[in-house]
Formats: sequence, C-alpha cells, structure tokens
Amino acid sequence: MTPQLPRLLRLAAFVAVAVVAAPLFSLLWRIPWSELPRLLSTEVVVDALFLSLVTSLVAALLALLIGIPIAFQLSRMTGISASTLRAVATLPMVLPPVVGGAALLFAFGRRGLIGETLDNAAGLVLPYTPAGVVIANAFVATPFVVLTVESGLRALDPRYELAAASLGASPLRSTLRVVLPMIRSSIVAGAFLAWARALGEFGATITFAGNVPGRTQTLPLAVFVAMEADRDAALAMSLVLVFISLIVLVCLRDRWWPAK
Amino acid sequence: MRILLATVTVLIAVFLNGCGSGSHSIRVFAASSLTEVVQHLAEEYETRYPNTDVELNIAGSGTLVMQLQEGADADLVILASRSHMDQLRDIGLVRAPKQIAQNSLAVIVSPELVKDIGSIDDVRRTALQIAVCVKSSPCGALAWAYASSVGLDLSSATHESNVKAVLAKVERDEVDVGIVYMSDLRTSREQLGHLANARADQYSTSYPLAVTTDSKARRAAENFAALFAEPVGQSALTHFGFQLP
Repeated sequence: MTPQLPRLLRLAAFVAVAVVAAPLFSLLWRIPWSELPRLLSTEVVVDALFLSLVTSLVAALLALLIGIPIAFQLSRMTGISASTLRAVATLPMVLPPVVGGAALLFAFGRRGLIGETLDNAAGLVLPYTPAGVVIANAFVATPFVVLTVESGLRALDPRYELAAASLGASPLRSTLRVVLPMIRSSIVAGAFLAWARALGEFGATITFAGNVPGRTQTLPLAVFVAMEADRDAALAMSLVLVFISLIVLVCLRDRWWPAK
Repeated sequence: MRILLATVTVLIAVFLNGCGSGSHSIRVFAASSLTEVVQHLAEEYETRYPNTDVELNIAGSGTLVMQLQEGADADLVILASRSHMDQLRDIGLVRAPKQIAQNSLAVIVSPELVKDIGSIDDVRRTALQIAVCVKSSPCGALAWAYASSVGLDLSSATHESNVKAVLAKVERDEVDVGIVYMSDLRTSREQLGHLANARADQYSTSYPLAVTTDSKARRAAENFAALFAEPVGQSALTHFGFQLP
C-alpha cells in the first residue's frame, strides 16, 4: 500500500494539472472538427506534414549519430571537465532556438565560417534547403540523445564490460555486443525524444533555413504563417502536432529517465 | 538560499512599483515598416508629455491584427494596408481610420550582387534566392501581385513574417534579392542595389491610423495621432521614405 499524500498537496496537484492542461483544452475547444478533413488535405498542409516527417526522422538519426559518441565519452569523465563538456553538448536544449539558428547561420550560412568554404568548394548551400532544416532540427534534438544515453551508460554495471574484456573481447567488440544492447532502451527513448523535439522545432529552423513552402516550411512554420492567414488551418495543424507529441510521450512512459 | 529569496523579493517589489508608479502610458501598435517613424515620434511625444510613456508594439500588420482579434490591449493602431484595418473595423475594434502615409514597393539586391544584377530580367534569368513577406501581410500581398505581373517565380522564395526581416536578410547577404518598401530602402544603412527600372513602385499601399474603440487613454492616443499631421510627423514620414497622402 502506498502512503497517503496530505490533502492540501493533492489539492495543489489538482490545481496545477488544471493550469497545465488549460491551454491544451482551449486549443481543442477551438478546433473546427467538421472541417478537419478538408483543412488537412490542402497542399500547404500536406507538403508541410511530409517535409516535417522526413526532416525530423533524418534529424533524429543524425542526433543519434552525433549524440551517442558524446554520451560514451561523457560517461567516462568526471569533475569539471565532464560538467563543461555536458554543458556544451546540451546547451541547445536551454538556448533560445532563435539564438541556435543564428549560431548555425554564422557557421553554415552562405557567409558563415564553414558555409562559405562549402559554397566555394562544392557549391553546397544549406540555408533554404531541406538539408538546412535537418541541421537545425538535429542541433536542438541532439542533447536529448546525449542525456538519456549517458544516464543509461552510468546506470550500467561496469562488471559486464570487465567480464567481456576478461573473456578476450576487444573494447570495440564489448561496446558493440555488450554495452549497446544493454542500453537499448535509453537509445530508443533518446531517439524518440529527439524526434519529437525535431518535429516541433521552430525558432532555429525559421532563422537558419528560412520559410520556403514545400522546401523548408515544416508544420510549426506553417502553423505560424497560418495563424495570420487561415486560423482554422493553423488549428488543424496544431492538432496534428499535439497528437503526435502526446503519443510519443505516452509511449515512452517512464523510460525517458532510465537511471532510476 | 535566504539571500536569493531576499533578492527575488526586492526585484519583484521594484518591478511592481515601476508598473504602478504615477505615470500613464499609451500602447501603440504599429506596422514594421513604420519602425523608425514611430520610434522618432514616440521620443517627440515623451518630451512633450513627460508623464506619459509610449509603449510600442511593432510587428507585421497581419500579426498585429491577429493579436488585436485575440484581445490585445492597444490605444492606437497603425497598419500598412486598408484591408487589414478593415478587418478590425468590421469587428468593431476601431472606428473611422484615417490615412497618414503611402509607400510603394522596391526590388532590392544584396550588397554582394549589386554589380551583377541590374534588372528584373537578370533576376528572372538567374537562380537567385529571393525573400518576400508572407502572403497575408500587406507587403506580401503587394509583392505577389507585382511578381505575377512581371512573371517572377516566387516558388522557392522564403516567406518572412514582416518586411524588416526581408530587409535584414538582403542586407546580410543571406538572400540575393528581396521585395520591400521604398521606405526600407531609404532607411537601410547598407549599400543595397535597387532595381529602379523594375517598376515595382507602381504597387503601393496606404497606412491607416485609428484609435481603438475601447481605449482607456483616448485623449493621449489622439494626441499621439495628431503628431502625424504636424510638421514633425510629416517631415519624419518623408525623411524615412514615405509619401504623404
């Protein structure tokens, strides 16, 4: 039997939930339900939805590719160096996305530190392309992979790896065959969180990749534009985003902090 | 912990005191293209009426209309197109708007490309990155009308939420070509190219001004509005590239 909470605390929790849920309810209350099929089948919405799905999925993969090695490195570090590296790697999580977008512009923009070289050497321009959207999405999504995978690694008993080593497995082999399978749930959780974050990305995307319908106008950007042009379409697209995000979070249950 | 709490308490006290102190304020909602003009007139107003603060809310006309439709509090509204003001009049938020200025389009070229791009034909021929305002904004509506009249393809243009965002992108060379207002070209500090022969200036818009019907500072708002008709307002408008009605 679980011990009972004080009545006052339960009341406070009830009020708090109501406060948190109020905007969501207000959104649902405004949705023009009967118009939904028509609103969701317009070209702008279909384009944005498709672009959002593709770019967010690729971004989630990219976030795994970048985030997992960082997490491994972090899990073997301690003290100030670990805190510093972790702060740098997870900064995009707390940074205003528009600042992230500006930073990406200074790095990969046409006149950016790296972007100018890319442009001159290969004619590769990232802003205003779907690839630019992927970069912006991956930038904000990677910290979620770093944090979940690192906490999974730290919760792992080191004796498994030591046992693998004593049986003659190389560090690479024991990482691939022992460690990775054991932290699978952290990786999956990180991937889903990264995907959900990428899907909802707005600030970094519009700053770095612009707002080109069919090329860089993802769902959140389309919602932003439609808020002024076609309110009902904006609400319909918002519903899609709310729905997907809720599904992700419900499916993850309590897996997204695996350390406990 | 105790020091932190004390600091926060002091900050909140100072903040609340600042909000409630004796001076009045009026809230002016103005279209982005008017940024420099309203900033200038707000300073003028505050020197004339030292007890009244002017709070400026500057955004694209479409954004301002949306904010007002959702119940934002404003005393004075100045937008960049009649049709946007009509939306507010139709739901009773403003009455009898007055026209204060006019503005026309300009096709601008980034500093890097000034030498290469000299006509709208050059723009049509080359795969250039173009920036325009979103269709729902006054400058976007004009830009699309203009583009279709000259056969300019905007399908890969980036849609910015207001005209100053378009201007900034061209100034920083993040895009090659932008469609903005003549007033933006005038106020820009960069060496932008201007396709004067592109005949975009035939597309113009007018700026209506109105005091909101439920303004609690009607008198003060009317005083601010009156500045536009005075020499100080008229010279600010022409100085920043607007035409007088």
